Amino acid sequence: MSEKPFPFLSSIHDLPNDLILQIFQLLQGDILAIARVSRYLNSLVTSYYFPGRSNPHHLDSITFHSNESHTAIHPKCTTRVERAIPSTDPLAFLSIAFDIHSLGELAWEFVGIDRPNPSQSLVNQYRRLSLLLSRLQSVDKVSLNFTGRKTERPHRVKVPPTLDKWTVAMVDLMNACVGALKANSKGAEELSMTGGLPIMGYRLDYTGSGPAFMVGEHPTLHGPGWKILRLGNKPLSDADTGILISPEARSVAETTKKFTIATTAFLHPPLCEWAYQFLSCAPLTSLTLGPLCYDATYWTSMLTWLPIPLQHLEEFTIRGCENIPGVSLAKFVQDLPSLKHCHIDVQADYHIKDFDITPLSLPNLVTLIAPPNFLYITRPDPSKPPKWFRVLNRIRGITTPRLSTLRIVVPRSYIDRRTDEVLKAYSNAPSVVVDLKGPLFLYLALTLSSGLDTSGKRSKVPSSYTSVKEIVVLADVMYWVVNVQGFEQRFLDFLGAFKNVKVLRVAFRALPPPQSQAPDNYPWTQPRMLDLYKRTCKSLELIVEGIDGKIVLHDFR
Amino acid sequence: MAAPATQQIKIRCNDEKEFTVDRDVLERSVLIKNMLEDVTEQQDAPIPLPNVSGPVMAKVLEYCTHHRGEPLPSADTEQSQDETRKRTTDISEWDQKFITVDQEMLFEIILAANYLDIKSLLDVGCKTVANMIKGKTPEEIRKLFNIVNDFTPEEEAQIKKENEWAEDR
Repeated sequence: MSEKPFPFLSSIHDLPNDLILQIFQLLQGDILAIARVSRYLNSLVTSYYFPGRSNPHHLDSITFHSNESHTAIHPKCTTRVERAIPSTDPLAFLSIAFDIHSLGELAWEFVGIDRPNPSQSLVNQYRRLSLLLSRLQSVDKVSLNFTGRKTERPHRVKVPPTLDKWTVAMVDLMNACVGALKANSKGAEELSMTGGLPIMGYRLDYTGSGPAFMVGEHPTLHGPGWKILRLGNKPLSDADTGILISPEARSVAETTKKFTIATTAFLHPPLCEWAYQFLSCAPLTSLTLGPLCYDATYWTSMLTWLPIPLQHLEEFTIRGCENIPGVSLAKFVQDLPSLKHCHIDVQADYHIKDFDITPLSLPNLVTLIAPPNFLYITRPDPSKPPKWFRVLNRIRGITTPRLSTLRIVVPRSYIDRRTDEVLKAYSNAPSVVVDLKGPLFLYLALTLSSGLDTSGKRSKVPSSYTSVKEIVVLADVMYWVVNVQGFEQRFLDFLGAFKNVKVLRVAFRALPPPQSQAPDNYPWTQPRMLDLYKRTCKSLELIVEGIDGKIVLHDFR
Repeated sequence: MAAPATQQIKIRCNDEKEFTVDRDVLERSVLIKNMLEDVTEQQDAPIPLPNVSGPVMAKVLEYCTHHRGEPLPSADTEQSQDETRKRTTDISEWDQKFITVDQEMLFEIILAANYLDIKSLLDVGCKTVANMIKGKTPEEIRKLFNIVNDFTPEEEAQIKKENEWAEDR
């Protein structure tokens, strides 16, 4: 036999790197052991899975996938590199990230946390992640995303027997998140808890002692010291009762300015206690609630309680909380003396009917973005003032001397499903009463500018609106209103009233005109309207957005 | 003009060892298949394979002969199979028996499969090595592959300490 022309292959070291890595990809959980075999293999594994280690600018994110959790770490880099790591234990894998000093963000998604079996495993995962966080010194942002099992009958889902254990562990984890960020001398300026409906997808009833929170249908909702009873079934035994002590929340919240709650879990005991504790001592300036579309009663209890510790809140956003009662929302907002920016998202149709509160006093409000309630516009009752008029009065009643942006946002989905209703409501409306039955935007505009009330009388423009610098209208309005008698003058009056308005943004993105009408013949693109725009917008920036992506833009700056 | 299925092809390895093999057997190798398609006229000269030795080629041909006639993975199916392949280290009985060789030959087969672009054989080789590693401690892996532990004791202690928590207990 001839002499070997190639070196003797005595070790896995002798294989080319790409083949070694191909083998490693089959090993999943054993990768950690391999990384500890030798410097060469350690270097190979870490440079493959953490290519940013040697050159951080080559790495932007790494994503871990496994059956139970999904993890992404985002070093502070510019180039995006994503690689799914086939590890059944991504936490173990993360341990080789200790010396990656460019690691800036850790995002962790917990999947299927309401399944009975992995609960104990999740407890371990929380605790281990807590420890990991204490070591990842470069991390300055942590995102936890809890995703549970979806169910059509959430109240029938069985409560995991280890509920108390994993919730306590979860709190430990959250504390660790904030604590880890504090350890970096940066403080936790932002803490987001995201997730949604399926998380604690079971309904609980609560009894206990302590200060009570106001609730709607539930007669008692107490805290702290929650006792959890399963609704519609036999109570859990004492051993299953979860009492969450969370004084840690107070100690970790000192530097947090921005807080986002987007998981139902934090409205339920015992996690809500942590959230309450946290909110009560964090000097928050920004709070985002939602999206959450479940159990308005918990929202009610939370909102009525929250203003007390949120005296310094400057930004408030609420989105996707369709069951929240309007009265609770309004009361909450009016008790925030420092509020500057209020954004009530259009994802939900808030129940703002029949709430009767004193005019809001918001002396520092600069931006108000809110949806009108189309529900009442589409069902005008000629015999009495429409209910939505009360809404307008409510808006008018807001004392907002600093208001510079008023944005009325109509959800497209809402309009889409009510197109027929809207068309029917407006098609026979006499032009003489357009102020009352016209589109909300126009009515609001005219009401604000000329002080029209239901009797059609005019009054002076409220002085508080002279600070408005931008008006944004996203609605289906112009198609109908441009053909209304007297519209042009009212439009001019309207704009004239807002003397300091610099930007008027009108978006026609719903209720397209009849199919037969070519875009060139849309009323708002007709010469008459263009002239009107030009006359009124000499000093304005007018941005007209189109329908379904067919944008008709006229910028008269 | 397409060559008949029974056409015999000669190949020459880096140790001058020559094999005459049915074309359909050799076409398990994407590399050789492409080479044959590039040749417009029938040639008697053997195809040189400078990266494969005779003994290794003999094993490779044994594999190809056994699996002749099986469909080759297309480019479309390859990607979808990739994830499945990664998740499993299962090897068929015949393949297991076939790949029961010493480590040197195992690594040579992997190299040859990679060079000749025989994906299924490469998979068998990689899975076999993965199975050898699976569940072993770092020290056991060192012994298995005759790898010298070049971490300093301090580094090793540090790594061990850092990873203690990470074990899924």
